[in-house]
Amino acid sequence: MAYSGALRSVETQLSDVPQIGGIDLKRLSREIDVIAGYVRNLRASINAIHAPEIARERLPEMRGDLAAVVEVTNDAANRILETAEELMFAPDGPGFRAKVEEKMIGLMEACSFQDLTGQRISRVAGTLCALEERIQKFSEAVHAHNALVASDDPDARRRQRMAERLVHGPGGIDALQQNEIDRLLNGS
Amino acid sequence: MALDLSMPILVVDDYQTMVRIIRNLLKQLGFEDVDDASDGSTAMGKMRDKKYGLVISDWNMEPMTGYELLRSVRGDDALRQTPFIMVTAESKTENVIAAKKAGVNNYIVKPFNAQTLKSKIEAVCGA
Repeated sequence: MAYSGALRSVETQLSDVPQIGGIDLKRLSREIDVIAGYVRNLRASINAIHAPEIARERLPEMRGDLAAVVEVTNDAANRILETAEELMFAPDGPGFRAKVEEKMIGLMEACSFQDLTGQRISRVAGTLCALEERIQKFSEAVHAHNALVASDDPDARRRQRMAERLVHGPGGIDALQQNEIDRLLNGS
Repeated sequence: MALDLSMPILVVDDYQTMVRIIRNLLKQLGFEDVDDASDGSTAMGKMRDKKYGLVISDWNMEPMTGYELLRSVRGDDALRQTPFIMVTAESKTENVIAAKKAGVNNYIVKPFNAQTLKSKIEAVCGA
């Protein structure tokens, strides 16, 4: 506010003086006005991102949710594997069927992790959508373009290293299916 | 030719759950001598100490990936003949082509089932 007030004061003082040293002061005043408007717009757009709220609440919440998903899926996988191993190596005999039935209940209980992880992942997805929307609006408001990424940027270095090692992780829409891989390998 | 169920197999994966799943599937198929390693460099050390009949390796591991392990194995006179199956979530064409050029014997994309693992082992080790 103080910034734009000061600019207006300069503009008012310059408005009666047409030129100083060959500089068109009216034009200069208009350009300062445009810059001031841009700065106001930029500040409003930055405020609309709610960066402190993201840093203070949303990101830690997402980190917590994802860590919990890793932990819960890991626990569930271990419980399911333990049960499967017990059944695989259980001796035949009169108690076998009762044992299988008991272990089946355990397997079903272990599968309840999906409800919890589903809820947490949905919450993370919702937050990411909200963040995406805010960044998109900000980007449009400031007419942002992608700047060249500095070579010392840690994320750029990480991506570069992953690309060199051909590490992409689980595939998206361009992922090959097993039969396509087989064809590629066998050359048919 | 029947599968040699006594042949030692090395499973290389940084996820213990996956190691456990592959171990169990191999056990179900009748293989008893199964070792594991959590990355490529540990696997290389184990391969120098023991002769394996088959290596089943993930791709994405630190510090040495499965792809780097494959290239090291194929570049090592004592190990180059070891059958090598890549079991990975990396399912881009460039990965499959790179692995093929490096000398992979077979390539399984995750998630996979017991039947796929069995058929690829049979194709590589002869059934």
